[in-house]
Amino acid sequence: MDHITAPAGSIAERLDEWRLGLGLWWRSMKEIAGHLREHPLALAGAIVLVIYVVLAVLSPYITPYNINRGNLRERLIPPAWEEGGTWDHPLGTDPQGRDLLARILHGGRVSLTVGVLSVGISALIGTVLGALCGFFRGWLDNLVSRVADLLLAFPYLIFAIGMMAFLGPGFGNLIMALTFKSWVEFFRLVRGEMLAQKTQEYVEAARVSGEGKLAIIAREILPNIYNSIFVLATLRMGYLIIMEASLSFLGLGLPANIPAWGSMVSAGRDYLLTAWWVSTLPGIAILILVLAINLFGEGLRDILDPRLKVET
Amino acid sequence: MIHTPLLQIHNLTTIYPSSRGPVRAVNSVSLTLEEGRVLGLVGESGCGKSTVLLSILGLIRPPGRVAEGEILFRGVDLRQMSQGEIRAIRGKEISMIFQDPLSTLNPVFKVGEQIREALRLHGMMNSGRLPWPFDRQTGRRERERVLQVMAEVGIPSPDDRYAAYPHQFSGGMQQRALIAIALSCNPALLLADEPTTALDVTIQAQILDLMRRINREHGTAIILVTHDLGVAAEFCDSIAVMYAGRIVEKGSVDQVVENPQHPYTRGLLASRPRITIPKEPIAPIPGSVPDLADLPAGCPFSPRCPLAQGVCREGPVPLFEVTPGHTSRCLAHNDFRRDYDWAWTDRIEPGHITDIRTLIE
Repeated sequence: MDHITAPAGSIAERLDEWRLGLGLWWRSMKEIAGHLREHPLALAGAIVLVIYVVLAVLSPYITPYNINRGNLRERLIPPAWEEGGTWDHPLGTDPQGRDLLARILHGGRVSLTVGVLSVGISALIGTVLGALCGFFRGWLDNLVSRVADLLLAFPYLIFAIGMMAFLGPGFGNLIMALTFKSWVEFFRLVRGEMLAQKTQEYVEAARVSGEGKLAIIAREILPNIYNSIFVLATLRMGYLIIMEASLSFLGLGLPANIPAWGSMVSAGRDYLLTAWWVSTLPGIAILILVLAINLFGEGLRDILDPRLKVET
Repeated sequence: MIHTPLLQIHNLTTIYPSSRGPVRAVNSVSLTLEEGRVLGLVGESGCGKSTVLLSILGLIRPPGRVAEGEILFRGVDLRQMSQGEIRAIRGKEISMIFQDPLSTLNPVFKVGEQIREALRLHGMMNSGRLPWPFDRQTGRRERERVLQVMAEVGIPSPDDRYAAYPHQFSGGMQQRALIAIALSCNPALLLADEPTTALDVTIQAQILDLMRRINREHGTAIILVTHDLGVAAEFCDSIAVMYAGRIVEKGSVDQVVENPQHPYTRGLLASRPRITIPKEPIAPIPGSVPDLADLPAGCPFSPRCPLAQGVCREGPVPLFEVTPGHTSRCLAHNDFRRDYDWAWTDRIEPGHITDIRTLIE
């Protein structure tokens, strides 16, 4: 076995260890990929998702156009396949004469960043609070659970609209507004799992071997819950991307100089009859991304954790 | 120098509050265990055996609590220790193995890593020269020790099994892995909570063999909790029989098994099917364990006891010394044996119930 071949303390040993760790990670990834083959829809979702990420990362190199400065002489050019379209602007231009492809690709960056960040932060907050509350119960649990109930009693969009109206548009504010309620889902999931896991015998065994409480939470129990958290994170991401688009649509999301899909849809409303592509194409981009995320998330749920049920 | 036993328990009482008043899960239990010996704690489920073990380790979950008593480990009272002090003892000086090995191992970690974790927790392999991340030798030595322990408990090809997950092990191998975790720090005392109950009979024998070897080779004292008097008789030096939170009979294996004094002990012996006598009807003890929140005033076994008389139900029964080192909590003597006709008592050879009253007078 490779974990004992190299001499003690050598760099080769360190490398061996990393290689072993990497190998295990790679193997579990391959395992998930193998399962994905049995879920064709999830596989399709995963592929679309990868394409989105690649396009978003590479967007500055794909189209030469500035995303904010348009050429008014080229305003409202239809997509290339329509009559009057040109391959200079494959997806056409918007009322300000800006290239739609460039803006949609950049919008993908924005949506994915907002989605990943807000899901990541809410998962972090929800997991920490859920783990502590589920394990220790007591007044902290009472307090946080009541706050969570309170937050759940608000309709999400109205809540976010209120917050954004109060805070004003901005990247940080948007993340805050999205996170402010979204952590509750993670909190409830982790807390529930914690209540179930902490009665398991391996927790008792860890106590018997002299492990401290925080170590038991972080090193024994949480690794058993990661799968569920990961699945929930994927499913929540689609939801939060829609939320971001809705807020941007209402002009409450990001500042005007950042092209978000929601604000692009909103900008094209007045031209729906004359230039349908301005609104429709970003809308389709949202649709496909969220659909892909959800399909992938559902598949992941079946693969990793058949027990978990998430209502949205 | 005064001789101190490894473990001495005096009047241990553990209470769980309930809606119907406090439940004495463990009631004035006293035990002594010498260095390197094996003690069997025998009784039906719910009689407080496991609670004794958890009380020793200070792991009774609130609202339960150890109400009174002393638990002297090498002469020091574990109950007086701070959380930090007792955590340093758990897993290092006193470790424990459980009934269901699969659920006791953490499902998401490799078995080898779990054994290593036990070592790391108590810094067993630290060279002490440099703190952890800079000390390259520690990890190396930990892994060597893990492989050594795995080989010692009889896990074949430890190199390969190091990176296996618990569910890839068979039940017997899982229990061996648990024993490896418990043994990794070379404890002086091993608490075994029904370690063989969930296993096949052949595997049971192997695990018991392994534990006996550990006991001999390392001088590890063992408290074996089991409901199987046969297992205890085979494995232990001395036996304590518990009923409803109390010890009802205590003595060396020979004394308790060859010459059982308490009717409950005899009932346990008679409840075992014997392979040497085919188709022999099993004679179970009639009735069931009493409600611990609502114990009868006298002997808690009296409702099920064929020998019970009025005296038995009147007040608490003390432990009588039958022969030196052999005690029994029963008032029964020859006078009581008038008209019992329980099948199970017929199987006990007559003359076994000595006249305890004459002994104490």
